[in-house]
Amino acid sequence: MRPRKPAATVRPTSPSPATARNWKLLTIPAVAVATCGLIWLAWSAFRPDPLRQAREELERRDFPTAMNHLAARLNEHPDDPEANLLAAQTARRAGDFTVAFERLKIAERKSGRTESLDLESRLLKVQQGDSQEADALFNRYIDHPEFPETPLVMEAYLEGRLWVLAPRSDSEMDARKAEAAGVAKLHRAVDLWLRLRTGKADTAQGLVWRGRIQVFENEHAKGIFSLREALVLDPNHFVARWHLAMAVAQDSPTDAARHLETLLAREPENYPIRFGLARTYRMLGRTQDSQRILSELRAIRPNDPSVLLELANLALDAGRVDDATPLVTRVLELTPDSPPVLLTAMRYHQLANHPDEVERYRKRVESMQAEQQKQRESAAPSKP
Amino acid sequence: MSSPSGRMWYALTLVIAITCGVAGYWFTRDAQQVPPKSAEPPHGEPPPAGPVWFRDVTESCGVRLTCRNGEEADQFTILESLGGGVALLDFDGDGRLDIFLVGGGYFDGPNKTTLQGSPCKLYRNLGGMKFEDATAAIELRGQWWYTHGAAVADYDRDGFPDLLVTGYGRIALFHNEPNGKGGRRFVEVGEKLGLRDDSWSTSAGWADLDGDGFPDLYVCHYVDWSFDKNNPVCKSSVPGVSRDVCPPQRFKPLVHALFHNDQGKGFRDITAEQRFKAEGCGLGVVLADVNDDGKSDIYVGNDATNNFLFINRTLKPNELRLDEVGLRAGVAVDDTSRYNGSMGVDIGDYDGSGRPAIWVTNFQGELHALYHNLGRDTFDHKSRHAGIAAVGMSRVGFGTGFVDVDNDGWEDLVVANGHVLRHPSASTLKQRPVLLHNVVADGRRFFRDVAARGGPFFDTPAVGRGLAIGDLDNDGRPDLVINHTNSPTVVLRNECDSGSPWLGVNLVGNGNRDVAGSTVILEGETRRLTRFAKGGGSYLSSSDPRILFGLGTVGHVKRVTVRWAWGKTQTWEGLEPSAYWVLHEGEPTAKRSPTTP
Repeated sequence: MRPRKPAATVRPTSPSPATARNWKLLTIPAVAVATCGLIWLAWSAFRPDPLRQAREELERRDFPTAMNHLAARLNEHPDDPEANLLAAQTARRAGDFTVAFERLKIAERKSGRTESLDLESRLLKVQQGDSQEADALFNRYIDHPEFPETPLVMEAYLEGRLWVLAPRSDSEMDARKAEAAGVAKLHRAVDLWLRLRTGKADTAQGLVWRGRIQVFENEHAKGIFSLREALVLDPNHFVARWHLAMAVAQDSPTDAARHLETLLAREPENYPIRFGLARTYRMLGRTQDSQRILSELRAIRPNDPSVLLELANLALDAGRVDDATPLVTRVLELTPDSPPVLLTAMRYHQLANHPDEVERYRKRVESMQAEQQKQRESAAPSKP
Repeated sequence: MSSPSGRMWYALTLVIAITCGVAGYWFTRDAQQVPPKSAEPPHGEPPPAGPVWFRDVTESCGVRLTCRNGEEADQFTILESLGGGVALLDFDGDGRLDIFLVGGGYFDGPNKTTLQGSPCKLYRNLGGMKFEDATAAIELRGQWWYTHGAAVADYDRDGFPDLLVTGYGRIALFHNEPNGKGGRRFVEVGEKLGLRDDSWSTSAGWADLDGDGFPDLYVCHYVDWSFDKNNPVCKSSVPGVSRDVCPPQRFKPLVHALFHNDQGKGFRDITAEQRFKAEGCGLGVVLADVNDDGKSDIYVGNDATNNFLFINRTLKPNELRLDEVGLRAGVAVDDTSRYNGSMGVDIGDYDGSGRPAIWVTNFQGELHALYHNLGRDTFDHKSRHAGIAAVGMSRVGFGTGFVDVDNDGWEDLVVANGHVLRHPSASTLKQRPVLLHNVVADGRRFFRDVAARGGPFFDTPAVGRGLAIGDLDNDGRPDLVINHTNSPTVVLRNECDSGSPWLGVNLVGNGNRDVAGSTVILEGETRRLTRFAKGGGSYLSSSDPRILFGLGTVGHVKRVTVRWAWGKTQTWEGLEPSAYWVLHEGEPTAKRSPTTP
């Protein structure tokens, strides 16, 4: 009798030690690969791409941060034409025309003249005040909101034209000159900008331009409203607050001082803001506050004639003639033909009881007045 | 969870969670910056607490006059921009101040180029802050012309104040005389006395300039506008507005006029003798002794031209010599060497120095000017240092004056404002008045805007022009009368309940000679108060000739000293507060003035 094979029984499969080892060897690398893949996917989606980061910052109109990202990119790829073009554009939009020009040149060297570079080159001219180029681009783009470049063109147009028409915050439109048409174009550019660029930062910027235009065309109440609206959208909008401070200064220097104080809290070392605040404090009769700031500024720039002049006038305001003596002497050395300096010198000699010197400066002030009168008369409107 | 597959799932879940978290933050971070809902409110100083100082009593007091400028004819002439003034005078000698109001004018005829006058009116003070229209009763009627200003003086020394009215193309001197029925009447005597002026006259002021005892007359002239010869059309600077009133720079300034008073029997034009030049568009004038030499000097506020300061260098009576020193003295231009568009003027001792400072209200974009008197005929522009600049530069200031509203012994300032353009840029036609309280800050005198304490009037924009200050109800608190263009004149009763005592003086020169140019010093236990008798002042207006001292913390009044213009110095003692005292030149005893409310 042949021995019977034992009947086959179903037993739970239990891998042999060798098989189990094989599985482990396969699974662990697979999981590792899958994890790395996922991480890579996540990384590739959100890795710090300087170009993308720069564009995102530009959406927020944070030009310095955008430039930092672009600098990082250009460190690794100095010849990247896209990065160079974007850097040129960013620098221009930030008002740094030297850097903009340099970047533009590099981009041109690397990729030759392209349509994008050509436009950027023209925008650089527009933003620097080239009226002809500004009008040409304005006319080409104003009726084409669908062009992707249109917002950039409008922005450069507004910055450049405002720089020419209203270089100072207290510039006013001269109704006798052909500025009305230019102002109408500015309004059209702002309207189009606000229609196309609906992000918060760009809307705030549009309102700042609108406010500046309104102040320029003597619509102060409207201008102040627009600037206030801009600050509602972006309370940290430095330029909006600066222009608002200037716009309200005539009606309410107290309000102007508060806006300048806010700006100074953000940029405690900002020299022009500190000087502006010191002058506003003097206007308000807050002589001690004014004196403190001006003394700090003098420590930074000992020969700034504006600071020395304000300090001299503060001393004269308080009747401290002796304190004013070195200040007046120095500021006269620095700017001997400045009308405000001559007037302060006259005031100084008046308070110091030097009638001959008063007379000498009086004559100079009078001749200045005569010159001013001539200019006024030549600018007087002609009979219709 | 300790198996490899469990760890793998855990790691995967962690990666996904972190990724989602980062992505969620990434996409929502913009949305987290929710903007505030409303624009930033304008900041302002908190109003000082307490009841208001002035109550508008126009409705109840019976004064009803609206000064017209004729703008409805749409001629846009510069004539429309000046407005009218107010004169306070006790014409009937009853001890109560009456009110004369200038009516202005309008344009008539087929082309609306014929100038017509709106009636001026005189309101008799009935007491208790009630007035009645006495214009007809005192025969102050007739053919009015386009009028602007009023100046008061007793030109013939008969003891009753006379009235000069200025305007376009004519001035008129009304003599105050008995009407034969126990009352008074005004009779026009200018023509008869040789007082002729066919120029465009604005503010005027009286003072005895040459020491003959009779008040001479300074008349400001404005510019060479006329329908016939010089009526330019000016464009508005506001977009969409085709036309507006022309600025003064479009015209030439006129020579001002000076009339010598020949013993009250006639007037002689001595303008040429004094070699006045056509260099100022005159709008405001005040005559007072600014350099403590006992003689009236003249300060003139000019529009868009240098202001004048004529120092009186007369050495002998009847040998008048005026020396224009405005620029040299530091009062012709502002602290940036620019001439201003000056309108209202006054002088006063705001800081207790005993010297009169000069105060000038100016155009939009300019500071009102406070010229501190340094002595030696020199002044220093102190508007910034004194806090005045804090009111801003958007307003166009006209009628004004030093006035101690709360009787604290420190003279405050009041300004009526209103633009001259119909469509001003960066401002408005109607503007709020200004009330500046003279306080101490950082150890110096400082003016703080206290419009909120002034009452509703100071919060109501208007086209303010002439303003006169005077104690209408004899309660020792100075009231205000303000003439507006094309809206009713307003009478404000001072109801400031400071509790401070006061003392008023009424200077009477020897034989009723004019007292403008005199200086009055009140010495108390703690302080000395100095006040000045003035001719003219404010804008197109004439204020209470009496001098009112708020005594504040002055304490017991030891003496009052008067340095009479062209005369001696005289002192009185024992004057009780809360009364008006008549100080007669040369008489040792002061008399309590028989005033009634």
